[in-house]
Amino acid sequence: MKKFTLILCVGVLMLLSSCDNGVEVLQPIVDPSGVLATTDPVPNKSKPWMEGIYTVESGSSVFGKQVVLKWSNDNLSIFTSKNAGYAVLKGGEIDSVFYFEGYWRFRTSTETGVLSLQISKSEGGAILTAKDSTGGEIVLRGSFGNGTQPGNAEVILRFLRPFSDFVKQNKFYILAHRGGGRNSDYLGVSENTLQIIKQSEGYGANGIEIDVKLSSDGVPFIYHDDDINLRTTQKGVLWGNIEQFTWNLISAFVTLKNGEKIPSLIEALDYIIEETSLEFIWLDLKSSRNEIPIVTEIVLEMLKKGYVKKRDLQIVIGLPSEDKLNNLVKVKDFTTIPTLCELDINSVRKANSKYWAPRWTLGTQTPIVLELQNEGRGAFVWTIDDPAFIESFITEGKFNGMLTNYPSLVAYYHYTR
Amino acid sequence: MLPDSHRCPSNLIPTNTFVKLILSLLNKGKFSKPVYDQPIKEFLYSLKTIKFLSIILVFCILPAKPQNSTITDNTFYLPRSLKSGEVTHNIGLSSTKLPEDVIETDDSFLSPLFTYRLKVGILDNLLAEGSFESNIVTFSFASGLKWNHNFGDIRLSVGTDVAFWFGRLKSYGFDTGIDGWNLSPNITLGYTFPNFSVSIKSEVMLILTQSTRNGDVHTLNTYRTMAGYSLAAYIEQPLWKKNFVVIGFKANYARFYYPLWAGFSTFDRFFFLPEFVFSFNL
Amino acid sequence: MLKLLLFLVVISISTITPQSKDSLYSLNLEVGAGYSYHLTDLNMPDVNLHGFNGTLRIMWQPEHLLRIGLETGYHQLYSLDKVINLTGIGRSEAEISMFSIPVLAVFSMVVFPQMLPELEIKFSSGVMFLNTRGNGFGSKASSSQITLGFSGAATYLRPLNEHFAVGAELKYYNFAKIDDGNLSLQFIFTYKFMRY
Repeated sequence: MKKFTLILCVGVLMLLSSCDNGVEVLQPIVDPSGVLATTDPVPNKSKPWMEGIYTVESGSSVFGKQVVLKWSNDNLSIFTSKNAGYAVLKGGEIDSVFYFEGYWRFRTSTETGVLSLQISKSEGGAILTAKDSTGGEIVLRGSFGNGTQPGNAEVILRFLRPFSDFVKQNKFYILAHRGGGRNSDYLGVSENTLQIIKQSEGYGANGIEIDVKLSSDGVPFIYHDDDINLRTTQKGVLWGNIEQFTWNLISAFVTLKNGEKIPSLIEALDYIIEETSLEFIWLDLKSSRNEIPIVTEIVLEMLKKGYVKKRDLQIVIGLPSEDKLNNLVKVKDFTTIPTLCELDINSVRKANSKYWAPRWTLGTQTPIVLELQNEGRGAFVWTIDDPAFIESFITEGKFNGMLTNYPSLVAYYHYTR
Repeated sequence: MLPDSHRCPSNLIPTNTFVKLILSLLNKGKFSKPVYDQPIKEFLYSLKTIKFLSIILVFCILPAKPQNSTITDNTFYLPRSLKSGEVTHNIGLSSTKLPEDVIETDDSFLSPLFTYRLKVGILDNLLAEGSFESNIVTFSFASGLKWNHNFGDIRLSVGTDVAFWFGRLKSYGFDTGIDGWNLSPNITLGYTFPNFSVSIKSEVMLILTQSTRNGDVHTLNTYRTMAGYSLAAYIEQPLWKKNFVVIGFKANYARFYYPLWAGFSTFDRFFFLPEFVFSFNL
Repeated sequence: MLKLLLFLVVISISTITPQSKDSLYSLNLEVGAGYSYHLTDLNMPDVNLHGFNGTLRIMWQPEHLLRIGLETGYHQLYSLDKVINLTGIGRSEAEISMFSIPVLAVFSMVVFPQMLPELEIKFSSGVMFLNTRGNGFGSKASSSQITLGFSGAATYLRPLNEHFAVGAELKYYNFAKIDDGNLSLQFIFTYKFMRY
């Protein structure tokens, strides 16, 4: 009898242990009424002179020995190789003094904190605001904190060099997985949402991958999993295979993990064109049905819109399986549809895909990559997060881009080339 | 323990023929395999047969009756001295709930692991221990020394194991190999009750070295030395005649759990991985 | 799951064939019906959490305290009927409901054989089939999924004669996938249909 009780206890323990690991990331709050409220926006002409490689003279516990500074729209981002770390800052300028307020985050762990930086007039401020500036030595000084605590640890970043000619002359796509990251990265916003797409450029991405499903009434929308579940959504009344519900029911009753609504494909692409500078969109088809005709129609329409808006933007339809490839070739003039093929190179040629995208666990496959590049195609590798392999693939591989959950880390290794 | 008056005869244990019958029924392909979009899920599914066999074992032994026997003589996890050259074996299965953040599903995948362990007496209080673990794509070989001492009813064992492990996967879009050396200092406290024994084992898992190959790219991972630690409780008792079984629960707190290497987790945080252990002392 | 069911059936059959002559074993059919309340932290005031709960169970009862068996049933988990206003789409009455059909292995034990032999404590584990039905904005939908789950119950059974007993059962179910529970109070009727 006791044995049974023991088995029972072990069983109950096993069941109880099926709960979440309880990860909580404390989001640092930057005071909007702080110093930035009294400054002017950073002049666009100053931004390129700030970009480059900086030596970390103080603050290596968070920033390592060397960092990359890169602007994306109004965000100044800092990328480091340490724990796939990054910082995202808003900036302002007054009297040739630059102020930056934001947060830093280790992507591989849950550590985060506030960050404040400043460029004084004598340490680069004057150079950056000069009419005929050609750049020069810039020093950022400031402080950082841990969690929601105010910053009191010193950080000093000294300009080392601008980006190399190789970086400036070779386009490399840093593609953020699921619009910017997974729910398991605890970014404060949910995967595959407009909110995370908005943040993706701050993480270092210049392109994104998003997942496309199809509602029962034929509306393509952005969602990864087959079912409505607690990994992706908040608890609600609608459960089961998400593609078995109409778009209206999904819109009315499904709320994503961090409170967002599921965006339709049209909403997402429209948002990308209107609100971001992203240059590459990879639509990963996840439907159990044939969504290619309707997705193609939407993509072609959005590409036209992007062209009118003079956006440097590519949108490609991913072909992850033979089924999707077979669905594609049934479409009239399929060779003119912009696609990205994850299958072998014969399938790439059959679909006339612009890009080939093998899984990273197959290695750099450099001879095949070069062969396809000679045919005028590109090659991406997915979904690579291992820091050592990211470095190796960038230094040894010949890919045109990389899909990752750690765009800041890819950005660091790419921009330091 | 079931009461002595329990009268379930030992012939309730299915014979080999019976097990073969079940296995033959299972192998007729009547059960369709779900299609997963991620190879890691695919490979986890392929291990479900082992999980199912473990369920068979558990259910088979439930009605069986324990017989009188000397509790300490047939234990494996309980710290005890072996005569020089004396050998004891333990064979079984463990099943671990994997972290949702790594496998990205809230379905409960219970990763099974086949285990074989043996102990060999060297001196009065010193013994050598070896083990083999596998989940089809991962293989681990470990050996170590343990020193035992009794403090009355309480027994203590202190030791260290060194393990070499490797994993290979060349399908589902993988061309991957990984191998590593781990070090596991451990301490075990044991106590014997009249009809069963309880052992509490604590272990630290340290990565000495680890290298990974994906296609043509090799890397040496040195950024995670402390892989994790664990606390486990093992209850050993006779099941029928002098045949002992071990029912255990192991709480792993790990940044890197080696049987889950194909998940390529890059999270630098500790996950809780509850592990259920069921094994036979041979 | 089919594998597990097959196995449990075969094991159940195998364990009842060769027994000692002085053993007293029986197979009991247990049927229950009653009220259930869905336990959830879902913050939606319009949801109806009250429903019907039915149980069908076959238990193997050896001469001692532990019994094992198989259980299935039907649980209404929740329902919702409200008018939804979607921006850009309009208003519609929406109906959503969920029910569950469990398939569980049951372990039951008489915990206090001297003091209260009529009381059994049960622990069950297995899978639950969850079905969601939605109706709104001019369309209907239905979707099923499987979740792991467990239940714990206290059953009080009063024998009427050698074959029949009646009683009540208080039971808690947990559904892992939706991280919800369900509490039920049932009237139970048992029939000892085979003794050997």
